[in-house]
Amino acid sequence: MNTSSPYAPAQALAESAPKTPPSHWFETQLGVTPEKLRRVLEEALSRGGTYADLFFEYSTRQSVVLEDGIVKSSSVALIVGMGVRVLQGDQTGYAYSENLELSAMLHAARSASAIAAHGSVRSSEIAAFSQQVPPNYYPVQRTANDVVLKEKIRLLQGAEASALSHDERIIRVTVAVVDSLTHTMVATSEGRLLSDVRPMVRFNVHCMAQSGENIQAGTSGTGGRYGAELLEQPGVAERLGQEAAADAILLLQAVQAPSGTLPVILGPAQSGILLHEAVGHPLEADFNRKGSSAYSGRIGEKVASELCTIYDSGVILHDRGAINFDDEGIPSRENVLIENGVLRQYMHDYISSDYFGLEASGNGRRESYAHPPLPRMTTTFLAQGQSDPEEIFAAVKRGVYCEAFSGGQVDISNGDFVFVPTIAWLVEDGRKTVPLKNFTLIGNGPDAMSKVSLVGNDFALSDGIWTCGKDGQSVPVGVGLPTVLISEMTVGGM
Amino acid sequence: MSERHQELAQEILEVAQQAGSERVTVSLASTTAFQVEVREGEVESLRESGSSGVHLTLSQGMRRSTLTSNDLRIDSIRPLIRQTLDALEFMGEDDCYVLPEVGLQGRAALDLQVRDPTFEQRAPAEKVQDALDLEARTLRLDERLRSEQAYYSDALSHVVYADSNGFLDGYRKTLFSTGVSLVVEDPGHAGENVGRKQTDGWYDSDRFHERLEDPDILARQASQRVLRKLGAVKPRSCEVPVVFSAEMARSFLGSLAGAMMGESVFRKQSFLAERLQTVIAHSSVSLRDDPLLPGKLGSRYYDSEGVQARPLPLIEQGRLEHFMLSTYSAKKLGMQTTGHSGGYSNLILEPGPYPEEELIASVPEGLYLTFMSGQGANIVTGDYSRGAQGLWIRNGKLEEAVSEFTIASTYLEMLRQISMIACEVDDRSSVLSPAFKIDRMSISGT
Repeated sequence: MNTSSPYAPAQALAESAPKTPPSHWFETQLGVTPEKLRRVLEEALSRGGTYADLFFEYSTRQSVVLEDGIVKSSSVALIVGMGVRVLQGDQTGYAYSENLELSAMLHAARSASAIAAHGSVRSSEIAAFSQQVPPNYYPVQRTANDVVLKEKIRLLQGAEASALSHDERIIRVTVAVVDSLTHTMVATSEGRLLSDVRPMVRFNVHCMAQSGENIQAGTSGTGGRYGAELLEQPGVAERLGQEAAADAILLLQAVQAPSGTLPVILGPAQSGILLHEAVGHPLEADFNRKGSSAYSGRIGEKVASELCTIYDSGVILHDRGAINFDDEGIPSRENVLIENGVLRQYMHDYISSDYFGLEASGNGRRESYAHPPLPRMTTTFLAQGQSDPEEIFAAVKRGVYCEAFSGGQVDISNGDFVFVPTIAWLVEDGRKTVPLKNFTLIGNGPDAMSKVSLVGNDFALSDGIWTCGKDGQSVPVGVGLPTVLISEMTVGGM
Repeated sequence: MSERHQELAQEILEVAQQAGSERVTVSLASTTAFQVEVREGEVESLRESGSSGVHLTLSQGMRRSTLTSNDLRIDSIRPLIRQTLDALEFMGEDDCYVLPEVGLQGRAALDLQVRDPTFEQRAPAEKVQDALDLEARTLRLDERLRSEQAYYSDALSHVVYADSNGFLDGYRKTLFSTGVSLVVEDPGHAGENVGRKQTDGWYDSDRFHERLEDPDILARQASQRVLRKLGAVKPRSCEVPVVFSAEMARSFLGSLAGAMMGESVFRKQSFLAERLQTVIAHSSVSLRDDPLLPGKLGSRYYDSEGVQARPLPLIEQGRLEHFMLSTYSAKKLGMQTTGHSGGYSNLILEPGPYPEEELIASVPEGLYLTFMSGQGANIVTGDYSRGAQGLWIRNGKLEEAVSEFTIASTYLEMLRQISMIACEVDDRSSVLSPAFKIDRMSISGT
C-alpha cells in the first residue's frame, strides 16, 4: 500500500473526484489493474463454473465517544480485502484474501474454484470489461472524516449539555459519532466493472434518567450516506441531546403495557420496522428459491390490504439504505414489492434472478469482502395513503400507539414476527394517554398486512440508524412509513 | 505458527512504544475456517477463509485511544499508530484507564484441551460427505421433510495477547460444528395461514471432532423438532407456569449475564446494580462462571487483558455474590478485577435433581418454551417480554404446538420463581444450562 495515512483515500476522493472517475481508485492506490482482475477471474473459472465475480473493499472508520463528561476514546479502523465467488449454477464457491497481491488473490481464486470441481465442467469465457458509471446517490463534497476531531468533540459536548440541561433527573449521557468511507469495486466474468465510494455517518445519543429506584434509558440518532454536512447541520447536537433526554424522562412515567389483542397505531418513520420484518425478509428471493417462505409461489396473489403498496428502493438520496449498485455490480433501483395488496416481486440476487429467470433487482448485498452476497433489503417503505393522522386516532377506542423501536425479528417460514417498541402510548378514546414500558408486539406477516385498515398521509423516512442482520451478515438499511392503523395485533404486556 | 503470531504481536507492541505510546496492549487473532452447506443432495456453498485482525489500545497518562486493522503489515500499521497517538491530546483523562496489576496476569496452569490435534487431517471432500450424509439420514426419516440446509464447519484460531506490562502469550483453539435445518408445509385450517411452513433443526458444536454428536441422533432431533411444530395455534392470554427448554434457559442466562457485567453495573445500566449480596433468585439457583473446564467452548487461560482466569460464583443459592469485572469496571466500582474483560467464559447454572420430563409432568397447564424472538429483554429496567413458540402442556403432558404469542415478566420475578431445575445440560455453547421451570409468566395470545 502506498498511502502514508489511513485517511488518504478520503483525501484522494475529495481532491480527485472531478478529475478521475472513481473506477480507477483500486488501480491507482492499490495496484489492482484490469490485467490482474482478468488473471484472477481466469483462475477462478479454471476448473469450470458458470460465473465468477470479485469484490474489493477498502474501508476506514473513525469513532469518538463521550461518556460522563469525558471524551473516552477515539478509534480508527482499517479493513481491506477481496472476495472471490465462483458459481456452478446455484452452487457457490467462496474464498477471500486480505492481501491484494496477485499471488494471494490467485490463491483465493483457486480455493473458490473447488466448487466447480464438484459439478460438471462447463467453462465460461471472461467477457471484456466494460466500465459502468451509475448515478451517484450519495455525492459528498467533504467527508465526515474531514470534520476535525476537535469539531466532532464540540458536537458531542453540545449534545451532552443539551441532554443534561433538559431535566435534572438525567444522570448519564453517552454520545458517539462514527463515520466511515468504503471504497468498493466489483469485477465479473460477464464483464461488469464498477467502483464506488460509500460514505456513512452516525451520530447517537444515549441517556439514562433516574427517579428513586426507577431507571430508564432514552436514545436518539441520525445518520445516512452523508458527508460533513450531516454533522454541520445547525443545532443537530442540541436536538439529539434533547430527544434522547425527553425519551428517558418520559419512560420514568411509563406503565406496564396491556396484554392481549388490540388495535395498534404505528407512528410514521420508525414503524417501517414492521414492513422490514413482516414483508421484507419473507420476500427475499433466497427463501423463495428454497420454498421456505410463507410467501413462496404467491406472486400475483393478494397478500395484504389493498391500502398497502410497498417498495424497496436503493436510490433514495443519502439514505442509509442507498447503494449506487449492489455488491454484485447491478445498478440500484426502486422495486415495487406489493402493489395495492397484490404481491408483485421478490428481491433478488444473481443466483435467485438466474433461478427464477428474471432480471436482477439490485438486492445482492454483503457485509464485507469476507461474505458472499445474499438477497437483502435496501430501504423498504409503505407508500403514502389518504387518511389524516387525527382521523386514524379517532378510529381507536382503546389501543396502542407506537412511536420508536429497538428492533424486530421474523420467522420466515411461518410468518410470525415481533417488533419491540421503546416509545409507545396507550390510546383511549382516540387520544394518547399514558406512556408504556417496553414490550413486544407479535403478529403474522400476511395476517397483519391484511389488517391494515387505514394509511396516513404523513409519510416519513426513519432517520438513518438501522442495521439488518441475516445469516450472520449485517448491512445498513432504511425504513419508512406513514401513520398506519392495524385493526388488531397481539400486545405482549402483563 | 503460534510463535510467529507472538513475534508479530511483540513487534507491533514495540513499534507503538517507539512511536511514543506510554502503555500499549495488542490483541491479535488469526483464523482459518472451512464451511460447506448442502441442500437436496447438492453442495450449495463451499467457503474457505483465512482472516486476521489486530486491536491496539494506546495510552498516554490517563488518556486512551484504540485502533483496529486486518492489515497486519508493520508498514500499514505504523501510520495508524501515528494517527491514534495524534488523537490522544483531544481525549479526556479517565483515571480508570490502567493496565492490570502484573501480579494478576498470567496463564492458568492446566491444559484446557481447546485444540483438536487432528484438525488438519480431514480432507474437504470428507467434510462435504459428512454434510451430505447428515442431510440424507434426516430426510429418510419422514417424507414430509424438506431440507433447508445441512452444514459442516470447522475453524482453527490463534489468539495472542501482548502488553507493555511484559505479558506475551498465545494459544490455538479449534471448533467443529454440524447441523441440519428442515422445512415442512403447515397449511393449518382451510383459508387461514396460506403458505405457512415450519422450520427447525438441530446441531452440535465441539472443540474436538470426534466428540460431535452422532448424525443419526442429530437427524432424529431435527425431524422431531420440526414435526412437532405442525398445526401450531395461538394460545389464549393467561398466566401459567413456563418450562424453559435448555436452549431457552441458555438464552435467558446469556442475557442475564449482561446485567452482571461491571460495564453495565457502573453505568447503572443493570437492574442488579444495587443488589449485590442480596437474594435475587430462588434458593435452588446457583450460577457460576468457570473458565477452567477442559474442552468447553468458553474455556480460557486468561481474559482479554491477560488476567489469569479463575472460577467465580455469581449467584449462590439465590444470593447475588459477585459481578464480573474487568480492570476498568472494577476501578470504576472500587473493586478488583475478576478476570472478566471480554465477558463471561463458561456460564454454568448448577443442574437440579430432576429429569426434564419431571418438570413437564409437574405442570397441570402451562407452556414448554422452545423459541424466543425480539429485543424485549431489557437489562436496564429488568423487564422481560419476548415473542415465543412452544408446546402447550396439559396434565403434565406435551400437547399441541403454540405460536404467535408473547411471554412477559421481569428478570427478578422470573429468577425468584425458578422452582425446578433439570439435570440434563446443553453444553453446545459457553452457557451450560439445563431446562428450568418458572412458576408463572404472562402469556399474551388471543
